[in-house]
Amino acid sequence: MKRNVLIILLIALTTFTGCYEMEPIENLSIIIGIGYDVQKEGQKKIVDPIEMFVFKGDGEVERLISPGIAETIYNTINDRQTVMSKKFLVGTEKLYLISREWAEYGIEDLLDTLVRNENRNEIAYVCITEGDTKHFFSMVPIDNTSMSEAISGILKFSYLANFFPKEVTIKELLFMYHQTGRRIILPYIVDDKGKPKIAGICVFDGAKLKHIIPLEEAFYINMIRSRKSDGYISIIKDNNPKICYTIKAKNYVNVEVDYDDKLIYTINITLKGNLKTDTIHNTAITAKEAKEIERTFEEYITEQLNKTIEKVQNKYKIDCFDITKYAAAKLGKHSPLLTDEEFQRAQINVKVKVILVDLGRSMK
Amino acid sequence: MSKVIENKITKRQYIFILISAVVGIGILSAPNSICQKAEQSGWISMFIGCIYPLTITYCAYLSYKNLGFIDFYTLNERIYGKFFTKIIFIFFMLTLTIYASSVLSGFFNVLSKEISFFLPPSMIVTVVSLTIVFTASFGLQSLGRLSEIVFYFSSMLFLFPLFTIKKGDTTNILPIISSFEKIISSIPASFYSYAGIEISFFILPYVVSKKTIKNAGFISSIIIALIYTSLTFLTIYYLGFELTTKIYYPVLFIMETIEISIISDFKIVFIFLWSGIILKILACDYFVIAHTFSRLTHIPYKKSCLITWPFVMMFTIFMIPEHGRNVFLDNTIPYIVYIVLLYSIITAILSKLKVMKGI
Amino acid sequence: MEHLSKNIYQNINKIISYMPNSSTLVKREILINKRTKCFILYVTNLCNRKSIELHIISPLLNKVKEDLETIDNPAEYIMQNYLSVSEATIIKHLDNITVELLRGKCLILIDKTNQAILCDTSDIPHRNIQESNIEKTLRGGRECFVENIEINLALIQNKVKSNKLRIERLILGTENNADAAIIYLDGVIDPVVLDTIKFKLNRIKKLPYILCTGYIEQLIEDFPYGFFPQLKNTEKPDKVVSDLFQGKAAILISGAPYALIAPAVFIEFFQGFEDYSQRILTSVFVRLTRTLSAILVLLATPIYLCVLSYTSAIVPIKLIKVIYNSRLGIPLPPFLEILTMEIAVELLREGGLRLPTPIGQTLGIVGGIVIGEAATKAGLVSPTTLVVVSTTVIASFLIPNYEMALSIRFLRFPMLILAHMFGLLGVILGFYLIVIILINMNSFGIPYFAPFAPLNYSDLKDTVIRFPLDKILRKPKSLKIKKGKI
Repeated sequence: MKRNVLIILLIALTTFTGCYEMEPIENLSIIIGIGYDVQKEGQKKIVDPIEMFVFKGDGEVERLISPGIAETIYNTINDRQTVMSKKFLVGTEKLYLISREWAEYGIEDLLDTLVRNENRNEIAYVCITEGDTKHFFSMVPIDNTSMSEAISGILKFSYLANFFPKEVTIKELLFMYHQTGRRIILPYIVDDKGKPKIAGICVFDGAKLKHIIPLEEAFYINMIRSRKSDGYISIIKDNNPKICYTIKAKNYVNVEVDYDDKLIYTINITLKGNLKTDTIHNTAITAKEAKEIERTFEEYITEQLNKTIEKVQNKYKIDCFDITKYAAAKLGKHSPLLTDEEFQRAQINVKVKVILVDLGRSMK
Repeated sequence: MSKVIENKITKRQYIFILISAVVGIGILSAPNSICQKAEQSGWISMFIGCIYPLTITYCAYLSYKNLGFIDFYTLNERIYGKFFTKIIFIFFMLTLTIYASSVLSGFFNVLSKEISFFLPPSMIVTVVSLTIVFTASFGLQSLGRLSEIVFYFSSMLFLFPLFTIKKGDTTNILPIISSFEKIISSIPASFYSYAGIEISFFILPYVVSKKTIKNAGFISSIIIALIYTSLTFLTIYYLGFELTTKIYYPVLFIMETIEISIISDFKIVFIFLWSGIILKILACDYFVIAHTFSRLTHIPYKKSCLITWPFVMMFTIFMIPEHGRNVFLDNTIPYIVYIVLLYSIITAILSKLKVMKGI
Repeated sequence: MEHLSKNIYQNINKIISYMPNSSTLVKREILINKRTKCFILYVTNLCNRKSIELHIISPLLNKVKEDLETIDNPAEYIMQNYLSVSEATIIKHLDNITVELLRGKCLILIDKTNQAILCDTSDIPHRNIQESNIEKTLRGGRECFVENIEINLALIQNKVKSNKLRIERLILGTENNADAAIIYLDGVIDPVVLDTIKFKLNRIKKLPYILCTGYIEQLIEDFPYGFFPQLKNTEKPDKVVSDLFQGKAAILISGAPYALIAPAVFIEFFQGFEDYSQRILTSVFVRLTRTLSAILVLLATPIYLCVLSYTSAIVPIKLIKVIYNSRLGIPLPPFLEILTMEIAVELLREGGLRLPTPIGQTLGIVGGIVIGEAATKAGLVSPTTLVVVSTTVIASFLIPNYEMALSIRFLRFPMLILAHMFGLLGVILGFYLIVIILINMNSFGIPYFAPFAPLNYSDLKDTVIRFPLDKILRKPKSLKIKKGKI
C-alpha cells in the first residue's frame, strides 16, 4: 500500500516535471528603484522609470535607467519590455519615488497595486520628488552603486534629525492611507545642486497631494506626529548665534481627546534630551539652573508649537499632526467628528515637558 | 513489527490532534474574515467563538462516557440505528472533504502566489495531496506523534507576530468594543476558523487514559482560541482593521514587513514553518475521510486512503478560485456548523437517555 | 547425535571424514602406560603446541602408571588426575567436533572407551588491542575491539563488574559457525526488546554464513530500505558499556572488531561519546553545532538552488549582487552546476577513503584546492556554488557516526532533485516526508524518533542539548516499550 503511494508519487513527480520557464538568476534584471512621473505634454501618461543593476562580472556593478510610458502603471511594462533584454524581478526594489505632479494627480492606482500585488516589497522606502523622478535616478551616486540606495539611505536615517518618523516605507504609506483618522504624509525630496535633499513634508488628502510644508514648519509638525525620533533645538539669545542653548532631544508624545461642543486635544510632549551647547551660563550648572534651562525650552517650544498649530488649522486646514486617530480611538471609528471641519475648530492644547537627562561632561 | 502500530493515542496526543485539526489556513485568514463585521473588536468575537469547539468536545466526551468509549460507528448505531448511522457518516465524510479541500485550495493559493508561481496548479495539488495520503496512510498513532512534534516545531511561528508589539499602534484597537451587535453578529464568521474540531468524535475512543480525558477538550479549545485571538488582536493592533479587511491573508502581510539581515523576505521562513501546520491539518482531515469511507464500505483503511484521493482532488480543484471558495464556504459552513452543533447536543442527550433506560 | 564408539579407529575415521583434506589436522598417537592406545587431535596453528606437549602429552606418557583397562571411566580418571590444562570436558558424542577443533581445542581419544576429553589449548593468532583509527576520541579509553570475540568479551566484562551482566552465546551461520554473543544487563533492558532481538537473531541462524556485524545489522533491522541506520556500530568497549547501562543490548561476532548496539534511536547518532566527559556548556554548544550542520547538509544546497533558479527575491539585494556576479558566464544551468559539484565532492571523498592516509590527504588537497580553484578560474563553476557545496561537505563531517553521515549526505541528492522540480515547495515537502518517515520507523519496538515523537519530556534532557550529568545518568524512559510505545 505504502509502496503503491510511493510509486504513484514518483511517477507523478517524474512525468510532470520539466522546465517551468523559470530563468536562472543571471537572466533577471534586478530592480532597485521604481519611479512614477506624469508626462507633461500630451494626455497625462505615466512615465515609469526603473533603476536596475547591470552586472559586468568581476564584481563590477553598473546601473541602468529604463523608462516605460503608458496610460496605466502596469501598461508601462508593455512599453518597457519592448526594449528589455532580461526578465523582470519585482520584490528587490528598495525605493519608490513619486513625482509631485503625479501625486497631485492622485496615486489611488499605486496604492491599490501595493495591496494587491504580493510580490512588491513592503519595506521599500517611499518619498515625493520635486520634478521628474527620472532626473533623480540619473544623478551620480557618490558612495553607493545606485541612486536608489543613496536616497533610501537618506530616508532611512532621516529620523536622526528634524524629528522625522522612523518608518518612511511602503507599509507605513498603506497604514497612513487606510487607517481611520490618518492621512499620508511623506518626505519631500528636492534637487540641491545635483544631490537629493529632504526639503519638507507632503501632506495628502486621500490619495491626492494637498500641501507641501517646508522643513521649518515640518520640524514642529514632526515633533507631534512622530515617536521617539531625534531633533536638535537651539535657543539663540540677543540674535547672536554664538550665545545659545542647544539640546538634542527625543520626543515622547501622548494625546488625550475630549469632547465639549468641540474636540479638545491635549498633546503632552515630553522631550528627553542632552544639553549639547550652553554659551549663556559661564558657571557650573546647578540643579536650579538646569530647571531653568528646561523651562526656557518648554516655553520656547510651546510658543513655536502653538504658532504651528494655528497655522495648520487656519492655513492648511487639514490635520497634519496625525492626531485625528486619537479622536477615532476615543469616539469610535465611525464618529462624525473626524472631519477636517471639526479639526479646524478643535481646540488643541500643547503641554511640553523638557527633561535634561545629561548636561555633558563640561564642568565650566 | 506491525503489532506495534495499534491505533492508540495518549491524552496529550489527543489534545495536539485536536489543535492541529483546527489551526490551519485560519491562521492567515481568520483576522480578515472576522474583522469584516466586528471591525477592531474582531478578537473578542474570535474568543467568544470558541464556544463551538468547547461544545463539540464536551458533547463528544459526554456521549462516549455514557456509552462506554465504543467505536464511533457503533455509538451511532446504538443511538440512531443502522440507516441513520450511514447518513451521519456520509455527512461527516462530506464535511471533512469540504474542510480538507478548502484548506488545500487555500494552501495552493498561498503557495502559488508566494513561492511556487511557476508550477501548474494541478501539479501542486497532486504533489501535496499525495504527500497527505502517504501521511494519513500510517494511521492514527502516527498522526498523534506528528501533531505533537510539528506543533512544537511550528509553535515559534506563533511568536513571530509578537514582533509587532513594538511597532503597532494602540489607536488601532481602541475603542475596544466597536458595538455589541457587531461583535455578536460576527461570531458565526469565526466558526470557519474553528471548523475541524469534529475529529474529536472520531478519535476520542482511541485515547488510552480515559479517566483524565474530561478536560482535554477544554484545554485544546482554549489553546486554539488563544492562538487565534492573539493573532487577530496583534494583526488589528499592527495593521488596523481597515487594511486587515482588505487583504486575504493579513498575517502574511505582517511577515513580509519583518526585517532581518540575511533574508529579505521573512514571509518565506513563515511559509516554510506554516506548511508543516497545513500538511498536518490536511492529514487529520484526511484521516477522518478515509476512516469514514472505510467504515461505510468495509474497505480496509489503507486502501480507502487511496480510493478517496481523486474525490478530494476534484473538490479541491473546484475550490481553487479564492472568491468562489469564499462564496461556497459562506453558504455552507454556517449550516454545517449548526447541524454539527445540533447533532452533538442531541447525541449527548440521547446517550444519556439510553443509559437511563438501560438502568 | 553421533555417539563415540569404543573402537578408537572408528572414531578417528569419523572425525577425519568430517574434516577431509585437512592437512592441518594433527593426529598424534601415543601409548599410555605402554599399553592403551590414545590419539591426540588438534589443528595446528590454532593451538599452543607447548601447552599440549607440557600439559597433555608429557603427563600421559610419563606419569600414568595405572592399567586403564581396569578403570571404569578412563577418560574422566585421566582428566581428573593427570591433565594439567585449565579447561577440559568429557564428551560422549562427536557433534560440533569440527567447530571445537577449529576453535583451537584439542581432543584426546582413548581406546576402548566411548568417552573423549576436550581440552582448551587454543592459541588463535590475533591482533593486539590497539588504539582506534576510525573512532577517535579526545577523552575516554583508547582501546578498541579486536577480531577475537573472547578478548572483546573480556574487555566488556572488565568494565561492567556487575552481577546483572548477562552474556548469551550463540552460533551464527550454518557453514562458518561464527561465535556470537548477546550482552545485556538483566533488569535494565526492556524484556520485550530483548525478546525481539533474540527472536530476530534466531531467525537468521539458518543462513549459510555471516561474516561481520554489518551482515547481522542488515538482516535484523526493521526497515532494510530505510534511509537511516537503525543499529549502532562501534569499536570502542566503553561506548558499548555506556549503552548497556542505558538498557540496550550489544551483539558481538567473532571476526569483526565491532559491536552492534540495539536498539538505537535517531538522535543517538548525533551524540558523541565525549559529550559526556566534556564541560557541559561546551558540549551543549557542540551538539547544537552538530544539529545545525545536519540541517545545513540537508537544506543548504537545495535552498541555494531555489535562490538561483526560482525565488531570487528572498535574499537581500547585497547578496543578490554577489551571487549574480559570480553566476555570470557560467555555462551550466544552476541545477547541473550544483549537481556536478556535489558529485565531484563525493568522488573525492570516496576516492580518499581507501587510500593510505598520506596519499588521502594529498588527494584531498589536490582535489579540494587545486581543482576547485581551477574550476572557478576556468568559469565552469561559480565561486559561491563552490563555497556552499564545500560548506555542506565540511558540515557533514561533524556528524559523529559515519553511517548516519553517509545517510544524510545521500539524502541531499533527493532533496536537490525535489528542489529542482518544485522549488521551495519541494524542499518543504522533502523535509516533511523525512520527518514522516522518521516518525513511523521503529527499532526493535522502540520508536526511532524517540524522544521527540512520541514526545517524552524527561528524555529531552539528553538530546540536542545536554543537562548536567546527575540529571541524565539513568535509564531513558523512551527505551521502555510500555511507556514509549505510543
